[in-house]
Amino acid sequence: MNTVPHLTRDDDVIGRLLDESGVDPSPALRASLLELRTAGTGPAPAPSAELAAFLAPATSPPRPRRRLAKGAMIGLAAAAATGLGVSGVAAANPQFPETTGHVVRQVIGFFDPAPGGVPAPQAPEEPAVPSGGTTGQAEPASPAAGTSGSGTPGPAHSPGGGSKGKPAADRSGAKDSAHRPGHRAPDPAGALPLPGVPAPPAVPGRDGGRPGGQGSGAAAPDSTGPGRPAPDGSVPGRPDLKLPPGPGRPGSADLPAVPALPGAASGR
Amino acid sequence: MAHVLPDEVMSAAQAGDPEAFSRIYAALAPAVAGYLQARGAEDPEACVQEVFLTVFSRIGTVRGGYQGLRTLAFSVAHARYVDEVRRRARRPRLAEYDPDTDTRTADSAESLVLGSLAGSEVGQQLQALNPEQREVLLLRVVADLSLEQVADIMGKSTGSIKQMQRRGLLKLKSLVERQEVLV
Repeated sequence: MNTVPHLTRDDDVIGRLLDESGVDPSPALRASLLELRTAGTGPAPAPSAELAAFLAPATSPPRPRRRLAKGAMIGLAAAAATGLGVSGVAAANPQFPETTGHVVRQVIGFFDPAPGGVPAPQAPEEPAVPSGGTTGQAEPASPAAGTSGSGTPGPAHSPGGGSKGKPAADRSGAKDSAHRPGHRAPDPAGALPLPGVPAPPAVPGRDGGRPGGQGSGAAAPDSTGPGRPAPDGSVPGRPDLKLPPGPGRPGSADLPAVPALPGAASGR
Repeated sequence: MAHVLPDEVMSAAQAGDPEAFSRIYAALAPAVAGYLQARGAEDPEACVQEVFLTVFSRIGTVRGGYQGLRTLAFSVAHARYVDEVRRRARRPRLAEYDPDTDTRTADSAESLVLGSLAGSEVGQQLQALNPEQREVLLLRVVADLSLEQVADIMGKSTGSIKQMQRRGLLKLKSLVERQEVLV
């Protein structure tokens, strides 16, 4: 696009100006007005840097760039401020990491319920913790015979469920195990002295009649141990398992009747 | 003198085309600079920059094509000059009196005016006109604006502008003819 020359010459402009004002033109006046008109014909001042940003094509992109840079700077500033705020809160509040971790775990569990949704296969494991104690009834009188050795050998028999080898009450099922300690080795459960070891549920009963049938092999547990059975004799988390009456409990005098259980356990 | 830019340039400028801004500046800046210089602005070039920054920032509001843009440009220039005169009045320069540096002997800015015209006859003749007559003649002759445009810029009716123009031209004519007689 080229600029279009002005439609009228300067003389015509001056002539119209005089005509519309009703002033008789004179050569001197016309010459003065033409001289005045030349005042607007000088060179354009060099644009300043700020104005050149509008004009020069090379510098025109900087305007959008400046907008982008401005937006990016605002974003960075906001992110930095947020980070400082969070770090400040974390520094000021010692409970913040725990809270944050809890929230993160919740969020992870929400989007990926698999880790949290596997309690079913783990459920049988949890009852195993007290199960170790279940085998070792409270207040066993005799130390475990041929047990892991963590306890002092006791003179009497042990139900094999204990963990500390404290003297345990005499139990019929433990007698044989005391006589043949070496037979305990094949029992995998017997290799674990911890109370949390999942002992065969029928430790007192199933192996009770067999020599060396001790399961956990550990000494009698402390009555205050985690494996303390429920009052009703059921294993926590394993309602299908019933504990035989332990020593010191009512009915412990009927211990000789326990060996009858293997039949029931084997039928399971 | 002034050039008429096609309306496409205006449309392009309103769309943000830098080339259109350059053409507008090239077409209008000389007249705006001459007008401000003739009016006696202290720093005509800096004032031109401010004028065009304002014009470009408001170019989206321009109506009436290129003539509307010219009206806006000289309206802004006129307003800048008025602001400058008021600022000078509010903040007079305080200095120890020194006859050699006393600029008051030169009739304010109007005599500098005429910076480029000062040495010319027409420059001296314009100083004899009252400010409004001078403004009208500058806007009509230097800025090449119509009566309506000048009336819009000065906030007066077209009739009063026409009357001021007539009186200014008659006075200028008498001054010019008197000068001729003296010569």
